[in-house]
Amino acid sequence: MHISTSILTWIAVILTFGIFSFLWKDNPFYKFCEHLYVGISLGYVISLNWYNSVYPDLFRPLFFQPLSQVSLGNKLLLIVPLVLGLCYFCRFIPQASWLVRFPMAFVLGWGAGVTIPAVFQTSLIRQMQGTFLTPGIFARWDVFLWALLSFVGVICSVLYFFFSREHKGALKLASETGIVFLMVGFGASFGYTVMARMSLLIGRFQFLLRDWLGMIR
Amino acid sequence: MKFLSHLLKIDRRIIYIVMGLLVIFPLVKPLGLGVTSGPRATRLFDAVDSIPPGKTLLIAVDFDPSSMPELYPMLAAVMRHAFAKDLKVLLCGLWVTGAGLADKAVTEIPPEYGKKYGDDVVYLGWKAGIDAVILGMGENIRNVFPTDYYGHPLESLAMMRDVQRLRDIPMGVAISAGTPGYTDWLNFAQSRYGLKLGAGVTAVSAADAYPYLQTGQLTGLLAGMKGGAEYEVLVQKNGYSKAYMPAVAAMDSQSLAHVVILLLVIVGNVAYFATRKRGT
Amino acid sequence: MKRTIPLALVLIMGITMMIQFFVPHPVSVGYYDLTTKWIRIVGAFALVLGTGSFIMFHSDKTRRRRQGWGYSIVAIAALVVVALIGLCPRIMLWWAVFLPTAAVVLGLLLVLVRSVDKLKRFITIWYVIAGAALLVALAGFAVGVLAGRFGWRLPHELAGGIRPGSILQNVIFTNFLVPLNASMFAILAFYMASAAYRAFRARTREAALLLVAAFIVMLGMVPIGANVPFFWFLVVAVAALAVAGLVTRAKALFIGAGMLAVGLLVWLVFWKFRIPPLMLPDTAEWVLSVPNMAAKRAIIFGVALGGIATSLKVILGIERGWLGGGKQ
Repeated sequence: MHISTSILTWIAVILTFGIFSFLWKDNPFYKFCEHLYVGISLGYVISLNWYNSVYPDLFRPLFFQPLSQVSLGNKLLLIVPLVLGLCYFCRFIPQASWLVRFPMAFVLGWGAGVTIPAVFQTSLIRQMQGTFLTPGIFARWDVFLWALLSFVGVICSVLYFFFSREHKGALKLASETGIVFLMVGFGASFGYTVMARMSLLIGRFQFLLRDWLGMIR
Repeated sequence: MKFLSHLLKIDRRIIYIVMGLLVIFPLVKPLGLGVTSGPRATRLFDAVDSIPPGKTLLIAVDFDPSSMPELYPMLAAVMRHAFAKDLKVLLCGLWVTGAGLADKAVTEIPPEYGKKYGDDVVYLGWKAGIDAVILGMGENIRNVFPTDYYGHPLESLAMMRDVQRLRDIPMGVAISAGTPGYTDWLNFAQSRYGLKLGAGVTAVSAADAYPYLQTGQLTGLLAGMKGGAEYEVLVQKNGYSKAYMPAVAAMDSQSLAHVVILLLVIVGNVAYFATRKRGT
Repeated sequence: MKRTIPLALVLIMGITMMIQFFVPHPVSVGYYDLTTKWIRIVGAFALVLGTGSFIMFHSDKTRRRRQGWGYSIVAIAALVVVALIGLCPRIMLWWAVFLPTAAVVLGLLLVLVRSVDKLKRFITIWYVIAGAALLVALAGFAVGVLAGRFGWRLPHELAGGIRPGSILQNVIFTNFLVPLNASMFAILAFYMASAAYRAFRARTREAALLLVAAFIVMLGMVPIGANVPFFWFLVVAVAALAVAGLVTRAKALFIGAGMLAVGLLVWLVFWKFRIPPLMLPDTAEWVLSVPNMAAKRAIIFGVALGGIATSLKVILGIERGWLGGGKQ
């Protein structure tokens, strides 16, 4: 065992135990660490946002780069997103809070317009292509069987979410089959979720045992 | 039956202590269970392996410290594989709090292979906009990232001379913890610019990625810490790295933790149904 | 006008971006490049909303002395300190380490003084220490800014605050952000263990099916399951069902155990009494690749269609919730 003598490692360990102390019960130490985390995260994000986005994309070309590098036309065009961005600040001025709608409209409209064809292609068309039974599946008996099972599973699971008609007769049978597939899917997700959560804990213990206590190399 | 009803009322802190001890024990005294690579990790490995030397591999670092134990080993293993195959590595990210992790990887891993920043690896950094970043990179990377993360103009970096847009990159690996993540790269980079994509995801979202694997939209998938361990094993088995494998080292703990959860569910259910039947 | 122009803007942006996807003309591509660039800039400003709301909430809590107001001071102080360090162009090493350490120590002292009754009378002394630390910090900040302005050479000078790649960025990220962020999510593992014991009940057939699928994936996806034939998993399942039936005296469980045992016997006969070679990881892989894939694909269809419908509603102005309320 070789305990670390670095003060920074000890700070990290103290903060780790501060968060872990919540497991025993809620306490002032945990609350302190929680609020510290929120404040530090936001401060860190603000500075990175400035250095990586706002300064190189807006302020530098608009105010600090000469006309030989950025033309007057391009500089004037940058005023549009600057004004739209500043409209976000109007959220805190009650009389002018309606101005927030402009940047939101711009972002929502752009996002919706760009997303629709992309989602159509990725999540609908390609996924439908993957569902359909193609001649290739007849190469082997098990490939055929599982492809057929998947096809039935997709159809039945989609029909489970069809609430425009009462689930009676054939629709009820399909819907109940869909539930079976959905439950297996959620079970698989749950199994993986257990793995995820345990991994995060193991990672923290690896830090404590390796970097702090030096018990593992 | 009284024993079973007492068992149901056990203090949760005792469960926490038992859980903690059973996770710590295999880290200190490994059980030696070993890790074998699955088909999904092997598919991704083969895809990266088949990229000709000198070409660029794009790695999207779309995670933050909360998913670091699962995803950082994947990032390290993929980078080691790429450097061993003499590929250039281009990193970028859609998560602002992941910038430090990519910086850490760029600082620690290239020197192991004698690789130089600017010639063999470039970290573009993080930019606000998510979809706009990906779409912008598809047209011209310099429009989105005029400089890299450290402030160097892209023109001054030798590696970037041959890489102008996403179509110049044969393959990307999106290592993501959620949204934004691999689905955004699929929606925008692949559908519009045809980028071949592999993914490394947290275990929470691994089950959701299977439809994309089946259609071939994803070329390979690394799922959680196990996926990272599988890739580490593949990289080491093929002689590309001799580095410490943190994900492999954690697999014994992972196995024991899963068995404990299983037993807790079974015992809890048995105790519940037994006491419920008897009305105690 | 206050609602009409934004609605018109949404409509124009939505329709033009949808059409642009199919038009490779240089004008279309130029428009696409321009709007993409503007979106990145506007998106960066959106952070302001979150920061402003955060500061307003915590300063309001402090002003009204609501329960836990001391922690709000910690949160705002941390935000201000880290943002200042990040945005300040030049900084001295001792100040860079001093500031976060002082903030942490002062915060701990404040918590101690406010929570322990005997120490409450020392609150005035705390204010004095905090004031002094603040003066020192401001002095260091001023020196740092002046050093940058006049080019003074200071000992242990560091170029940049949380400038990307700087030592200070690594210190704050590695020793503050990583342990706090990672630990916050690591404790979920304990909650999962507790929930597994107390809440995960196979009350219905669907819940039982969910748990069985979860067990297969949980064991199959880790090394401990890698050498286990699926056959033995099912044998354990028969035993578990039989024991559960015995304990709960439920006939259905005995019948289930019996049916599964018969199925296993048939399987053994088919393999001429050798253990069938199907391993647990292969079974888990099948569960993930076939039934799970089918279910997730159905969910993808639903989410995609829902997303497209909502996007169209927003573009066409049918969905107006984003405009906010009020007569304006």
